[in-house]
Order: sequence, then C-alpha cells, then structure tokens
Amino acid sequence: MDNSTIDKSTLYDGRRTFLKKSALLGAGLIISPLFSHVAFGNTAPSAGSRMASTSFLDDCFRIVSVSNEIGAPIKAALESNIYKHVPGNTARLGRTFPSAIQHATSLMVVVKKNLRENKESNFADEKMAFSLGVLAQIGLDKNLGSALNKSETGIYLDAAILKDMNGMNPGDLIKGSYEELADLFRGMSPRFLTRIHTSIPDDEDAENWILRVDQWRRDLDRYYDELAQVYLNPDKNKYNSLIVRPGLYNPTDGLIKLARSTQRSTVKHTNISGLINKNIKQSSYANAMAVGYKLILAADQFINDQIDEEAFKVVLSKI
Amino acid sequence: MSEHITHISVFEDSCTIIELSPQFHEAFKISIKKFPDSGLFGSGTRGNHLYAMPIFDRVKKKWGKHTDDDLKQVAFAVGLVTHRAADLIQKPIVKVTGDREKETGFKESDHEIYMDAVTFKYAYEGGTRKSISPMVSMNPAILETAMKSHPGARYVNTEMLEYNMTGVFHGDLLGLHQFTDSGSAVADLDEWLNKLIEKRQRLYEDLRVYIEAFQNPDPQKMSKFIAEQNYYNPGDEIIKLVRAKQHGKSITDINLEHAVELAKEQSQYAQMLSLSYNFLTVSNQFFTNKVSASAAYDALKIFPKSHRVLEQ
Repeated sequence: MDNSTIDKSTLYDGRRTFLKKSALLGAGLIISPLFSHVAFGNTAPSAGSRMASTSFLDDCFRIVSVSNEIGAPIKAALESNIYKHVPGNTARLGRTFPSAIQHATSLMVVVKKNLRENKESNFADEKMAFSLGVLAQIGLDKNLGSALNKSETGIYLDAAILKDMNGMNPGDLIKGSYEELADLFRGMSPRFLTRIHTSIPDDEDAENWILRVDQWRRDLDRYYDELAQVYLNPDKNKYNSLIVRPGLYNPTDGLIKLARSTQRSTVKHTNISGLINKNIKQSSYANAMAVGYKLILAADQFINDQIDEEAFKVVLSKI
Repeated sequence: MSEHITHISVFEDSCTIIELSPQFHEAFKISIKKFPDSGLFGSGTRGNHLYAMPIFDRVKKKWGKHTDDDLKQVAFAVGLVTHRAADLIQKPIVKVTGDREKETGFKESDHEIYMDAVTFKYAYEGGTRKSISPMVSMNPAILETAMKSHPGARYVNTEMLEYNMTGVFHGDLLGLHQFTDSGSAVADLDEWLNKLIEKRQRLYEDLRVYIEAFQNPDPQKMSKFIAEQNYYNPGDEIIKLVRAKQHGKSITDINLEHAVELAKEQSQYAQMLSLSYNFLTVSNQFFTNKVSASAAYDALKIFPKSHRVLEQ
C-alpha cells in the first residue's frame, strides 16, 4: 500500500464548530450542485446521470495520454489508479469544483504558483491534477450540462457510454436479469468504502452531512436499478429520441473511438488538435472532449510559460 | 486502526444485540431498524469521539417530536459508537505488530487486513449472510478479483465498471461536503484547494491485498495474526448468540449479560462486541438521563477536553 503521502484529513481544526452551525441550519437543506437535480426526498422521477461526468473526464485524460502535443508531467498527473493514492485520482474529482469557467484562469495561476514553490507539503501535483479535471469539466458543462440534468436522458447517456466501453452498440438489447446487474453495482459500494478505509465527515456541517449521505445512498440505490434496466433493455425509441437525434453521444466519433482504443490497448501518440480541427460534425460528448482537451493543452502551455495569462484567457473565451 | 469490513460487521452484530436486549430505549431500536444503512455508514466514518454524544443529546431533548431525520442521525451515532469500540480493542493490538515490524517482518497493515478477511469469512460467512442494509449487497464476490463469480459479471467488464464506479463514489462523496457548494463565492482559491486536500479521500487501501488474504491466505500470517491471537472464535457465547439470532434461531441457555462478561476474556472479535455493548449501554443511559454527559464521556473513554463537546 502507498501510505507515503501526508494526510491532513485527520486535522481537527473546526470540527467543534459544526455543532453551532448544525443547530442553525435546517436539516437537509444544503445541496451540492451535483445533487441539485434530485434534491432531498424520494420524489424525483429518476436518479439521472451519475457516471457520465466521471467517464467524460477519464476520456479527456485518455486522449491527453496519447497526445504528441502535451508534456509528460501533465500526462503523469492525470494517470489514475484505484489501487493506490495518486494525483490522477484527484483529477477525476474536478467535476466537484463550483463555477469552473468563472475561476479557471485564477485557478491555473494559483496552481502555477504552487508548482513554482516546489514544496512537497503544498500538494502541488495533486492540486494541478484536480485543476486539469476542472478545466475538462468546462467542456462537459458547456456541451452537455443541460442534458445531464434531465433525469431520463442522464440514465440513457450513462447506459450508452457503459455499453460502448463494453464494446456493445448502445441501442442493443441484452438478454438477462437487471436485478443481477443492479446487485453487482451494489456490491461495488463496500469495495469502494474498503479502499478509502473510513469516510471523512463534513466537520463544518456534520449532522446535515449525515442526511446528505443518507439521501445520496438512496439515490444511488435507485440509480443501480434504473441503469441496469436501461443497460440491458433500452427502449429503442427513447434511445433514439434522447441520445441519437439530439446528437448527445456517438460511439463512431473520432475522439470517442480514440478514447476507447486507448482504454483497450496501447495507442501510438497522435496529433489530437489535428483530429479536432477536421471540423467534422460530432456528438455533444465529443465536442465536450475537444473543449476539455484544448483547455488542458492551454494549461500545459501556460504552466510551461509558452503562453501568458492573457493568452490563456483568450483560449478560454473561444471555447 | 481496524478496517471497513470489521467495522460494519461489529455494527451489524451490535444491532442484533440491541434487538436481543430489552434495556435499550426505542430510539436505538427503531432507528437501526428503520435506517440501518445510516448506521452502517456511521460505523465506517471518522469522528466518533466528537459527533455521537451531541446527536444523542439533541434527539433525547426532542424525543416524542422527533423526525425521521433525527432517527437517521441516531442510527448514524450508534454506528459511530460501535466504531469506537472496535478501534479501542483493535488499535493497541495491531500497534504492537507495527512496533515489532523490524524484528518480526510482519506489517501492521497486513495484520489489519487479515482481521478484515477473517471477519468476512466468519462473521459475514464468506459473503453469504446478507447485510442488514438493503443498500449493501454482501456477496462472496466482494473479496474476489473483478467480482468474477457474481451473476451480474456476465453482462459487463467488471474491472472497467469498477474503475468507473469508484470515480462516481469518490467524486460524489466529496460533493457532499458543503465547501464544494460554495458556487461563485470561492473567495480564496488557495484556501479552497487546501480544503480539497484535507477533505478528499485517498484510495490508499489496495483491495488486491484483501482479496489475497481472503482467497489465498498466507499460513504464517494466519497463524501470527489470527490463530495465535485468538481473533475470532465462533464458539464464544456472544458470537453464538448473535449468529443464532441472525439465522432466526434462539438460544435460551445463554444469557446476554453473562455472554458480554465472558467475552472480555475471549476472542478479540468477542471483545469488540462486548465493548460495543457496554458503550451502547452507557449511550442509552445518557439518552434516558440516567447518567450525565461527563459520566458518559468517561465511560466512552473520551478524555481530551476538546472532544467533550457537550461540556463546553
């Protein structure tokens, strides 16, 4: 096990302040943006998308890994590993950053400063990895944000991506029991919790955090059933109307195909900008990947002083 | 420190004990019955020394006008208390292994992991006994490479799926922290990123080691960590009582209080259940106003002033 990184998560500062805050806050009223589409209670019609944001970031990082335009430090920072703690795992958390586009430039300035200070204690590599995830997320927000907030579309999108990753056509029917597949999803929860050892509570708002956790677990539980059903037995009409016709996801798009190839085997280094600039009509997901890639490329150039802050802002303004 | 599987197992077995014992207030009995998953998650959460007592204190004062949210929090607090009991038994034991690593070659982390693997084998019966939480699927495949024997594994590449799902869980858990909901109010990015580092969970436990310890245990480690130390004995009265109840059987010739007393000198797992029972008993006494907060903190072995939140 890799236990070498200093963990600041056991610091107790501020833990006692949770009581006062908890007393002031109404139970269960704090909702992170990620959960705003389901809110508390069990009345939402569907659990919506849960996987697409993570898969999307992974796909962006996959094409970065085979790019001949991006340097090794960025690629290394985006390599994740679910068997040990590496900065790339934190890159996958970039989707949790609030108001990504508003803060993108300032974030990169802070990251660059941290990198220059070169202190092990400031977790500069991990902060950079996270920030690259934030930049990629901008692509998703701009191209697919509203679709992800539509619950049924979200489930169909998640199922389409998962099937594509399994080498299947997203619209295909699979004979089998959705209960078995949903049970497999449920079995992954204790494995994840074993990987993190123990959960870190929200010290500033612990009692409401308990309620948020409870709601999250219920939403996930419902999600497992919904995803398993759509994965095995998609309604073709719905798949066409929710995913194909709006052009949300197309497994034959060049960038998506490249990401899948990278997932399955070794791929030689490629000029990704060349692929993007071909200007072929693509799905929203592939367009989002293109934006994510462009911003990570610009971040690499900014960190290496090939472009300045103003030039980075220009790239950001054009996406 | 002890591990996730052992913590949730001690919690689940403690719930069975609460069910068996007439002494517990309905707040304890109802909360774990109605919201077992909240308790189970609590048993795998840090901060037991700070958060359990204030929850009991707040809810007891409004009992009768309590809501389901209060019950979820009480169930969570029960999980925190059982976590504390497990830690107080296991931590000193594995620390000895850590202190003697240079001399013996045995690692503290391996000791912890072997405890978890054996808990899975005996307490969860190799994954065949269901969890009390309907949101947790206990299955023999839980400690298997890529969960390959799971019936659902024929529909999907499980390694790829788990990679995705780990990212989902990891990000979602961070998203439950209030600081990620700061919207446009991110005033100090440096501070925000420092908070991120403090709050993000590290995926630092290598699940492959757990799987190896369960599927193909090293005989030397099994002897050193489990047999020599009497980690788990299915013949211990408290364990027999709990398992019988979980299998719908009743044992009339073993008295719970007596089993708790006997357990203090029995296997380490029985000791965890015994201490958990005693901690829950004092929590119950505090909830029913039979002991003061100070007495309860003392009994729960929470001594640092800064942790005794109700006394401030």
